[in-house]
Amino acid sequence: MKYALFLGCMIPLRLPNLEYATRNVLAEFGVELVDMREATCCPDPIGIRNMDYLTWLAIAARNLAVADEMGLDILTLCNGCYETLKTAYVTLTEDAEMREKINEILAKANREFKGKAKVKHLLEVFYHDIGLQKIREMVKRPLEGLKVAAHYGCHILRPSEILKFDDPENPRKLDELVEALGATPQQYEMKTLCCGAGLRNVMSEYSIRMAREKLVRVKEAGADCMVVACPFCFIQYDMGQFEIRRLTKERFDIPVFYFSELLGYAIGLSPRELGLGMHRVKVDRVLKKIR
Amino acid sequence: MLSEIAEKIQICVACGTCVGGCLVSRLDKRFRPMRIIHTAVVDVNRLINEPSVWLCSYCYICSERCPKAVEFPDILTRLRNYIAKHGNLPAAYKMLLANISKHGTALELDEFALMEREEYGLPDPSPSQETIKEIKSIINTSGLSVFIREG
Ligand code: SF4
Ligand code: SF4
Repeated sequence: MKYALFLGCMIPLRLPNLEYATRNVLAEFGVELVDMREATCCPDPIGIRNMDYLTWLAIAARNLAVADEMGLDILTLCNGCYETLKTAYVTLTEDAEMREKINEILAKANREFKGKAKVKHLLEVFYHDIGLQKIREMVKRPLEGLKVAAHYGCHILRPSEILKFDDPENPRKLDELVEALGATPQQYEMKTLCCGAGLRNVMSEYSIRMAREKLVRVKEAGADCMVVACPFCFIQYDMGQFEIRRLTKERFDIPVFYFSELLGYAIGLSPRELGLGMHRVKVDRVLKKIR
Repeated sequence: MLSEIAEKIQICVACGTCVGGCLVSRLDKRFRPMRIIHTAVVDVNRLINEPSVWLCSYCYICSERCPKAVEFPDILTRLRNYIAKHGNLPAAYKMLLANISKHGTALELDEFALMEREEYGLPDPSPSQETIKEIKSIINTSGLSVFIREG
């Protein structure tokens, strides 16, 4: 298995610990990653798309063209990148007129969208390409007794007719992955609620209150921790707990894991190899529960 | 551009499903996806100075549940493009564009992340000057560069 690694912005520039954990975990599964040295911001599915749809599509198409040239499918670590790149891929594959328009713009940068490279989210690679069976075999430290609340995030599920990853109202693939690690997927109310990251820069109070809505329900359900598959969701729920404390005086103390970290721990990697010391809400208490 | 969405807007049956599932609507009664659609039907220019237009978080719950497949977030994208062209765009988005045009990424690599990357032995993630030139040429063709000068 070999992919063009699309890092995006948030993970390499703000959360390198998640990149480090993911690279280490994928190496254990024998997955080969080739860095996309010529890639740029995906670009983000809200800001740039809101300014000018065509520019957004063209920059995304340029990233896809880079992977076309590499002859590899793209692996993304972020829901935002996934939504942007996959939407661009689907739009340009299905709409010939738009494809021509975008390729005209790309020609000025000596690029061409060919539609060969497919876009895959990290969870798709784990669930479909590696598979639950292989993951179960690799687990050396089953996460027995750990109640994990899975947060999928919006842009891996919706719009479902484009992304086609899982059931948009009742997703289960991340829960199955959690189960494969020996942990118990903790169900909770309103699982598909948005983390609020989309409003972080324009209306931060709402963004914090949106994150709070989910944390309240996760806490009520009695989960030990949360697992996410996107760096934006990660920041919303990890650092967000301190922002909520400032705003409403509530304290949640729910450790948040990015999926590679939880998987890495279950297959026997050390907290150091997973960069687990970088979390705002400390994870030690949860790890002790496993040992 | 707006004629593309006019038709879609007309099929809304005002059932309110989009409002019911919307977390932002729950936090702020001034924000109603249905109301934005109806205002756009009457006169899209009324939205130019309407702050609530910028409150959608793009979670796509409304469009997923809409019985008429109105696809509010996609309509809103076109509306926001129109509003942006008429001079009203949140400063945060202008900054985002300025960053992408300058660095190729939405954020700058700060010293803390750089140190952390070195400690982990991770490669330099910064796009090359050649790559940034390509991105600039794309941004220039769209006329978006006007926001960079403002931002
Ligand atoms: S759910 Fe669809 S049809 Fe119903 S009010 Fe909202 S946009 Fe209109
Ligand atoms: S996409 Fe926007 S309007 Fe629709 S439910 Fe989400 S926040 Fe509300």
